[in-house]
Amino acid sequence: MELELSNLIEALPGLVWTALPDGRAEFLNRRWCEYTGLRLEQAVGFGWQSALHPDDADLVLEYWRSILESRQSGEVEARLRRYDGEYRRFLFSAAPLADKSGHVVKWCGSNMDIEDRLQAQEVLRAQADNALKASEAHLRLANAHLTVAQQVSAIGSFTSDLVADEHTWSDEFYRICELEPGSQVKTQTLRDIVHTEDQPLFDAVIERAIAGEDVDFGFRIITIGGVVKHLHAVGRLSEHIDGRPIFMGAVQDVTEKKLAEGALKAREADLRRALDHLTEAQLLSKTGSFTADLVGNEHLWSDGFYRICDLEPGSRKIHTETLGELVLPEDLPSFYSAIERAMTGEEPEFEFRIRTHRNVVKHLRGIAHRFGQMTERPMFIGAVQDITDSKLAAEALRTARAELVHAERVMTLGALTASIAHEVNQPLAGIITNATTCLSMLAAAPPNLDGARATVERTLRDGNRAAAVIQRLRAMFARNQSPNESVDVNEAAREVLALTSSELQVCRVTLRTDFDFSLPPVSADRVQLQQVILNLILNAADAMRAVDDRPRNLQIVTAREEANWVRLSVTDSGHGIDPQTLEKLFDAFYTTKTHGMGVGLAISRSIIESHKGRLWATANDGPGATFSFSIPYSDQHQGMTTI
Amino acid sequence: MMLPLRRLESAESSDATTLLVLPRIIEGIPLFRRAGREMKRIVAVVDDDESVRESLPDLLGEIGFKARAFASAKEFLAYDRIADAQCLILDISMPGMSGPELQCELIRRGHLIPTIFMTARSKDSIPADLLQQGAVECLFKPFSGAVLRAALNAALN
Repeated sequence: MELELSNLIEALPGLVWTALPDGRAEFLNRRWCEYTGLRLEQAVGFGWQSALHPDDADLVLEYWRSILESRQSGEVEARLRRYDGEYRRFLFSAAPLADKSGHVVKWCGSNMDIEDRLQAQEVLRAQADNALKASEAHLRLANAHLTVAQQVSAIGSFTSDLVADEHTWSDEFYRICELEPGSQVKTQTLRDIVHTEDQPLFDAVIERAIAGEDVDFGFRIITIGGVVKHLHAVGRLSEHIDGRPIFMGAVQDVTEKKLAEGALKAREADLRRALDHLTEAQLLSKTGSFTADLVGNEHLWSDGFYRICDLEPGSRKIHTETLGELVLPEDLPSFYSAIERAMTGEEPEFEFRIRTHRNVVKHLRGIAHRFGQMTERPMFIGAVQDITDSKLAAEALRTARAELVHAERVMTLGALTASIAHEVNQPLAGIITNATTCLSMLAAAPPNLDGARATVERTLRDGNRAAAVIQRLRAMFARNQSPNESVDVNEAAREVLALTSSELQVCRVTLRTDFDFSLPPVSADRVQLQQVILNLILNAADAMRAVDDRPRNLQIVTAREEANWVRLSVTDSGHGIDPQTLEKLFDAFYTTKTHGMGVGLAISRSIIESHKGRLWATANDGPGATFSFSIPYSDQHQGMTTI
Repeated sequence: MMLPLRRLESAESSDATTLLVLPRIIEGIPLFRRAGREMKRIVAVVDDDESVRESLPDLLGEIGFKARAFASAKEFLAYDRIADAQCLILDISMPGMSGPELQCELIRRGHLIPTIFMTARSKDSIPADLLQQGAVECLFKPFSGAVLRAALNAALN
């Protein structure tokens, strides 16, 4: 058994030894001797000590003695010299071997080479140290970045154990709250600076967080500096410690965002107000605006446009047909021609009537401007106006003016009664005289047939002459408005003179005419034009009524003026006009006459202006005044507005 | 114009035969008592209106007067036989010298000729003192043969 044990020990791969209770080495195995290069007899007893590193010898011996005394197993680390003189670190382990009575009979031990392990450990440790240092550096850097990031983004972070009321804040959180970084914070620390109005919310959120709910809310704080800040806090339940919820989260200073939002809201409000004003203005002015994509057949209308069409604003999508369906059938061609012209890129102005579903007919006028660059898809922005009122007013004005013109004409007729009667009575006198003579000649024996024939011929001529007078009168005082026609101004003036010549004669007015026979015809309402000429002639005669010390001369001149104008002037030698009142002459109800409404010249001017011409008065160099009008003529006779 | 005048002038030398016919044509007009020396004298018509100048002398001729027409006062004043005028029929309003002015001028020159005015205008338009200047009557155109005859009677009696 002893031998077996001895052999076993010898075979062990480690350095193994036994020692006596007093500490002397009794046996050291072959591997021990081989390692140290000591022979067994050199190593037994205390000889093994020579293989210890001199620096470790005292430590090992002292430890060995303490173990012996304690009779407990133990181990110590020390350097052991190898046969080649190199020291390697070993773990010296010793354990007591006791008999049944508990007396230590022997010590067993081993020396384990831990050099490689220690070196590996050292390398590892060094690596770990480096890694740690590096990670620390990273961490510091990351932390620095985080700090900067938190500062820049005004985001602070925290971990909170709400139940234990322990909190860790990032520097930025302190900075946001204007608190000393690193100072101790409690929930109450924060609550103290929460805006009074937000405290109930803050409390409720904290309460829910304690119950384990995540946190995501905005609140205001008032810092020590008195600054109101809007904060947004987000907290996530990250773990439980002893059943207490721990939150990690971030707090952001969103004051600027809030202010920007406020500014944005204010701007939005401004825009909305502006839009409201626009809508109101459109409502008041009965205008609407639109954008039109004719190719895509999509239109956007302002509320005003909808209202003009008696539609609920925004109640339906607008297409070209939406409006087309309202347009009066007789206006459809011009409506669609405007659309077609717009399709080719023109900027149309249009005017048409619609009948809304309330059965109201409205006159619309509009204009559209192109915007956008695509030639094949012209986009338009435009405006429409409900011009019904002005149309109706214009219509009423036209009617009123026509009535006034007629009234004036009737007045003129009254003034001309004598003259007209004269014009008719002359031929009538001839007719009756001739007829009487004729009867007499026929009754003679033998009948005077030649004489009778002559009287009948004269009767016919006089009858026609009377008829012509009536015809002229009827044309001149007809109520109905004649359309524009091609009018020879000379001829028109001559017809007027035919009716007035006897009046002029009675007034002892000497008439002179100076007509330019090369005058081109003008497109005009003949009756209206003659009304003007008549007015001017009668006014002229009237102005000379009181003149006795000089001839009463009336001159009518027609002439062609530059740039396609035809002029007619009536010059008298009457009382003349005061330059001060020159323009007043044309005001309605201004009159220098004792009788008369004073509307003659006003009406005359409006008639001439409706022919795109002008009517004016000038004082003569000598006595009297000259009234003239000019109206344009054109080679193509375009339609002109009648008054 | 010339033809009737010539005929009238030729009637100057004719006898009273024609006059006998008249009562049958124009009723109620008394027959002229005699066709004497006075019948050679003429009735002058002054009017700017051609219809009147052409028709009136013929009617006057049918009634039994020799008549002569003038287109203006000026033309009549230039007539070398003014003194032969038995009666004047004057249009009131004429260019240049009017009928009443001609009457005044004749009076001024010593010709006191019974005058009948005529006008195509209304009663209101004639001068108020027209008939006080020695005029016999004012005829308003158109007038009938009877009215003319009555005026002539008044003028010549």
